[in-house]
Amino acid sequence: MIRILFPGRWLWLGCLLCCLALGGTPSRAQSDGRSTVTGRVTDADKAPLIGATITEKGTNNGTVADVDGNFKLSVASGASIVVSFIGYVSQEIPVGNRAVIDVALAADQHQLQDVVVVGYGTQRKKDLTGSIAKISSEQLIQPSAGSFDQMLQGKAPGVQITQTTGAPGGNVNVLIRGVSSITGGNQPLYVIDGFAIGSGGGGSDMRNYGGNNFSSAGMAANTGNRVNPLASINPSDIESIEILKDASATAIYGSRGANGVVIVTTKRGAYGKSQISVDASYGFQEVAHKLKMMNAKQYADYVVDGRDNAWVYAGGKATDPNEVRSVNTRVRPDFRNPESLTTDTDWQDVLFRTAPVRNLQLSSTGGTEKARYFISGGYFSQEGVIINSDYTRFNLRVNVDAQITKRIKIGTSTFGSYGYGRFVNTESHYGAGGLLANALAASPTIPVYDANGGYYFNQNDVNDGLGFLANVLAVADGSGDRRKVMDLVTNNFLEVNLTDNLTFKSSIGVNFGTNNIRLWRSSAVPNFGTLNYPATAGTSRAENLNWLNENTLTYAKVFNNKHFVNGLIGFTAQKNSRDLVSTGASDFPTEYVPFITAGIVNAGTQSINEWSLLSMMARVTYSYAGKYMFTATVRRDGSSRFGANNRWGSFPSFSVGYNIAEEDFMKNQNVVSNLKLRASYGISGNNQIGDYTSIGLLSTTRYIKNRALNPGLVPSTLSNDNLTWEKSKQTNIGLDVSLFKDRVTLTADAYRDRKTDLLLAVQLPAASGFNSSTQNIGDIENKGFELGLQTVNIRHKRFEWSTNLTFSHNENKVLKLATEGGRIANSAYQITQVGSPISSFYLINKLGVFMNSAELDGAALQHPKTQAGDLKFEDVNKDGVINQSDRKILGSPWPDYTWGMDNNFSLGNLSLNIGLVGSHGAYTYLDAGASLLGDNGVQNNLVLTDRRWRSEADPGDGIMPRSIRSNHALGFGTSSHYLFDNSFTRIKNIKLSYNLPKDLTRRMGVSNLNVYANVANVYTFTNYVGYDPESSITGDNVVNAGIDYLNYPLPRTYTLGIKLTL
Amino acid sequence: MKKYILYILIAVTASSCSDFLNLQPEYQISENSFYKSPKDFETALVGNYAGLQGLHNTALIDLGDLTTDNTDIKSTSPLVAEAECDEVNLTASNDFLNTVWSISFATIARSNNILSRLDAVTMTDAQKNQYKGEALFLRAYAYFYLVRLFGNVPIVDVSFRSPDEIMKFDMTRRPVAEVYNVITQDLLQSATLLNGVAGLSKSQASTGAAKTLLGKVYLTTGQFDLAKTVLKEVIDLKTYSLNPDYKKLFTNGNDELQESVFEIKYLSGNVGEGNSFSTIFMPSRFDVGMFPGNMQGAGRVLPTRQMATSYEKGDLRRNASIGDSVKLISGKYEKDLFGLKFVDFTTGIVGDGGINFTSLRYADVLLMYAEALNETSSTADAHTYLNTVRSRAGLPVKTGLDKAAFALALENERKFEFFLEGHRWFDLVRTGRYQVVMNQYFKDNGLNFTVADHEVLMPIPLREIDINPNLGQNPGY
Repeated sequence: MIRILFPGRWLWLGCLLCCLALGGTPSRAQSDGRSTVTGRVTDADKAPLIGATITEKGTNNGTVADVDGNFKLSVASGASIVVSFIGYVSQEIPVGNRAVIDVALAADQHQLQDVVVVGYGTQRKKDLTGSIAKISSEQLIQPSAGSFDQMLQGKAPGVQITQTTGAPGGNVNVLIRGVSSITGGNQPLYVIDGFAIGSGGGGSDMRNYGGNNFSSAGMAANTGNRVNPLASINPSDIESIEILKDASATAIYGSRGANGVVIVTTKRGAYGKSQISVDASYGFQEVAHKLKMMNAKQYADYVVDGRDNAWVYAGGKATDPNEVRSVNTRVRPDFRNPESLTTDTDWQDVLFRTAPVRNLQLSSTGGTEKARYFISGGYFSQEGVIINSDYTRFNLRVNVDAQITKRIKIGTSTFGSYGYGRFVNTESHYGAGGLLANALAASPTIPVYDANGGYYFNQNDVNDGLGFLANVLAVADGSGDRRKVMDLVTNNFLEVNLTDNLTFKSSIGVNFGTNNIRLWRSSAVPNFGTLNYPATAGTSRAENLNWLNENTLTYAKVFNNKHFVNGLIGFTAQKNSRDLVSTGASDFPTEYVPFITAGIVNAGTQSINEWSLLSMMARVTYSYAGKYMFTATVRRDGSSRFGANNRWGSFPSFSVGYNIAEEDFMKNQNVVSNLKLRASYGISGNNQIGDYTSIGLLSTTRYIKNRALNPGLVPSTLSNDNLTWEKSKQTNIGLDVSLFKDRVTLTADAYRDRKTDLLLAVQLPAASGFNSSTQNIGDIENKGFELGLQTVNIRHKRFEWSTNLTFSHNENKVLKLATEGGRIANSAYQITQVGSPISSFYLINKLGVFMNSAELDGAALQHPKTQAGDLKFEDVNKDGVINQSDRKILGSPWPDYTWGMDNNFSLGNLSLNIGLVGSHGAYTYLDAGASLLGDNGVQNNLVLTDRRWRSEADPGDGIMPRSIRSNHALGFGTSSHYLFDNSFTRIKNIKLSYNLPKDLTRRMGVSNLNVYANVANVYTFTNYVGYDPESSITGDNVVNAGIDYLNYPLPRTYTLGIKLTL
Repeated sequence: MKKYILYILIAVTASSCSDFLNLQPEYQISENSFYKSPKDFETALVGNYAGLQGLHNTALIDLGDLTTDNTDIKSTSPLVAEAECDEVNLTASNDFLNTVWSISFATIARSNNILSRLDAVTMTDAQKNQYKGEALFLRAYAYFYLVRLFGNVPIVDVSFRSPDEIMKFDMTRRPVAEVYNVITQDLLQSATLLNGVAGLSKSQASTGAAKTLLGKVYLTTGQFDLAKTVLKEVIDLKTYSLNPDYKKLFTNGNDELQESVFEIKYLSGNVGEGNSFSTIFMPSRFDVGMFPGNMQGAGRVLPTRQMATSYEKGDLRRNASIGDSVKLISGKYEKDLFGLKFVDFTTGIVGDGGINFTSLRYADVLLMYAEALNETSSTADAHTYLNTVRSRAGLPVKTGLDKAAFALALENERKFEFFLEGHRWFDLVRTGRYQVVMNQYFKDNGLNFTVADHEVLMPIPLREIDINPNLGQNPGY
């Protein structure tokens, strides 16, 4: 009931607000002795320029062109009128004796591109005082990418984009100016055509997909999102993306602005000839980088070595026969003679394949004076480079703008998307069904298929200690993870020009989405020690309804042609409700039907999560002759997520700009066309915590009574009535320079962002009975600088070469935590502590390998029986032993700097784009290291292991320790042995395209025809040993980034496409 | 006029805003909507008992048995925490210590929560006595493990409702004597409150359970006279008796047996209520064909050879506790030692055993009573109770031992009677014999380990010191 009543009430309030504002507007005075000018303002094609401003020069007298472009203005005799419109070159015309003046304005190509979408409005880039990066549709050029966020990598300074997985429809992380929250989310706010859809990501932390799938309750609990929510936006529909970085820009989004804001604006119709465009491409993908594993002979040698060493360690002799050895140190006879091994299987080839990707986009745009439209439909289908994985998506969009009367305009942005796909668990330990670990660990000495064509599996191999492995194909076929995502968004607005300067806009939007998951694990998928684990299935359905009502009043006026004033006030209400039902089943009598219905449904849950947000905001921008600029904003937010005592907060910001190029003394030179200094300060917030974090909740636990389950309840969270948002207090100074008629454009920003009142899951003493509670404790600082440089290096008649370079540097430092000297363990390998970056790697430091027994003398050991060939660690506390107290910080998952470089070459109709990206100084913990770089002679390893320590005479390269079965030197489990610098330089994309000559296309009856070839993810230069340096199993859980457990490898994609405009 | 409109606007906005923003979780139970009826307290108690599953499921076996001469690891990839137990080289980051610390304190907090809310709800005196008695028992049960393992620990006797209350509370460690005072008072009160309450399961607190535990507390604190009295009261209840078949105590169907005083329930069937004894006590081999689906063990806590060979001849407990050969998938048998207690051969799933764990049983009452008698110089009387237990094991009676010899005989009896039940470390530390026994064991086996003086107390978990440095570490760690 409440849900239905509320939008109406806000509308009513909005109207009231309008009335109040109207009452305060002074009416214009008329005077005698003046002449009246009428006329029509059009563009070069005689299309009316609705809303063009016509002012009497030197006065604040002016008007706006109506829907037909007509205007009427009373001016003093002898006056001139100035006709201007955003994106067009202004004209100054002396009126003289004329009563009718028709004006055709020429489009200003330069200016057109320089309109920037800011929160709740647009601004000329020239007037910007905040830090906003704009990416236009032409820069989003990766036809094989499923979501637009992947395409942004390296395009905007200050924005770090990481593709943590190569899975179709998979996760991409967007981090603006560094990681900023430890417990709260780190995702920016996404605003699509004015609709704040919340944060991206959405629970794709792959650690949730490991072993917990095995019970029916685990299946029911496996409801996290695997499909990138931003994949529902069709990249082809996007006109531009603005990334709001500093507080001056983001404070208008208040309690959701602290992580930056990404505003996506889709294409809209324009007056003129209707157009139909078709863009079709076909590509194929292959795994960009395969791991180099040991071959059968190397593997056999490694296994034999491990068993002999273990037997010798236990007191035996390497020459002892199997009969006298313990079970775990017996050696298969054929392994003693590696030359006899004929099978040499590369298990990666079993999973990897060359897979197609298809993309078909249709769109139509056009319009009359009264109505304009953009309609598009898209189909994107990608098979995965790993068997049994794929993703398909359909999109529809209708954007319509209609001029109802001279002063009333309505419009809609409506789109729907339906995506579905199959996902595979490449990640995690092979015991938990991780496909890649299973394939990589498998012995190369066994075949894929048996003599009957079935999947080869022999219990004797397992008994002989070749790891505990099922045939990876059996695991792949026995697991099912199917997902369907449906998303409908409609955002509709009404815009009324109350007076020439005052516009009221009200919008109502609804976003409805569903998410279906169907999971299956057959008994062919082993669970660690259980070979024939009973089959389980799960299914879930989530519905999400989000509605938003926004009401704004905008006042814009130019006084004396010098003072530009723009004011905005607004009121918004938003509510989100997510309803989830999930079930799990086990006890399947047969496994032919992989649905819960075929088993016994014995687990399930339902949750209904809601949040609501009420906001009021105001903004004033003022500029004087394009020389001095000032912006102030304030937003007041009330959020349901916070404690009863602290629901409301205010978020102010101020910024100033000074464009020296507009000074008189700069007029006489033509080197510098723009030289603007900017400075801003503001406060924005982050509210990304769970919906009911401030309320003390109980959780269900079960116990047994009369051999049956009996439910119990225990307190699980502590209430906190004082809980509130975390605050980001950001100072930014910037410089915009344009030189040589804009051949060189530079944007530079330096910032310091202090995050206070961090939303922190403060660890509580266990004696309190609670593990942690979310509190506002802790300070963090991000500071850095970023550069964007666009240059036209060569501009000849037919040849042009331009470069777009971005560079970002960010330094993250924790200033304060709950307790002094306190530490937060972010993962088994990472801690957060004062003075260091969030989630720094905190490990025992591996120095190398004990090359000979002499090195052992007096060395600090982790175990009294450490021998030559074992790993050598640093004794940090100098106490003579190696243990957990010797851990130290050894780097962080945050790069020192990232960069991107696009080079565009055009020669006549031919153009070539080469995109490079790079990241330097970050680390990744290869969690799969225990089975890829292990030492126990069981699983197959990276070929690096073949260069291991074998004897004092043959000590290897000092990186890999000797092979020895059983973990004799305990504590070896986690150390910097598995920590790697993940710096890389990547050739991200190469695109070659050709526009067919106009006379040819004209004859074909089309207005434009373009053919292109594209290679995405061409090559990566890195020393990282895993599949990809950006891999992280933690998905969108950004704060735990940098843990690789064999994520879905990134594909290299070759695409051919054609773009046709009728 | 404008002003009034503005006022109305503000009033409307303000009132509706607070409704609009005040969202309660409809699908979850919050503390504001619970603890209203007697039934709610029963549900809260179920939640509290459920926590004990995690306490006994391996953590206390590792700390109670793996740290002694009873068992060692045969896993090819032991966890660091296990190796530390096996070699008696525990560090503050040992997971088992953290588990025991956190579950024990959670149990205490849940009891405190129940106790703090009882008075606000209308119920009969009988109901209130029962809930209070059960909550007090659980609090004492948890504190008793804490004080024995860690020595001085914080005493929390209030329930927290906000982070501020926790910050303001004195979380420093209190002397052992004060902790024992809390335990003793709780158990005395619990035994009284639960007196006469009928229909309780063996998985719930009872007068018998409270008194048995109190007897153990008195033994540990050296108050042998008090121990003697309270344990005699348990015997005189005549509620409990030894189960004729020792093996049945540890196999499927060991529910509510006559010997059971307090038991932790588990349930198989892949519903998350099973235990891991079936994997930790079975050898780590891929070729074992003893479970459905050929589940493999992990070899984490296995009998030492010395243990397997030192049973008296004819001891029926030997083959009920230890297996000598494993049946392979091939159908053949191969020699290998493993533990048999609580191993559920009907489960095919790791960590899903359904056999209950009896943490207090009547044999313990008898042997503790014998110990109390011996320590109070009634050695002659003590023989009777020792022999009752020996007879059930099929062993001849012992006669005429002097006080010292009897104490040793008792130590030995307890070793075999309670093998793999997590008693050994606590027994040896209680009698001050842990260092002697272990150092001899290490020496006999050519192992280069020793138990230092400080190692009869465990280190405070690192997590707790990180959060609250004022806790301070036990000396030597």
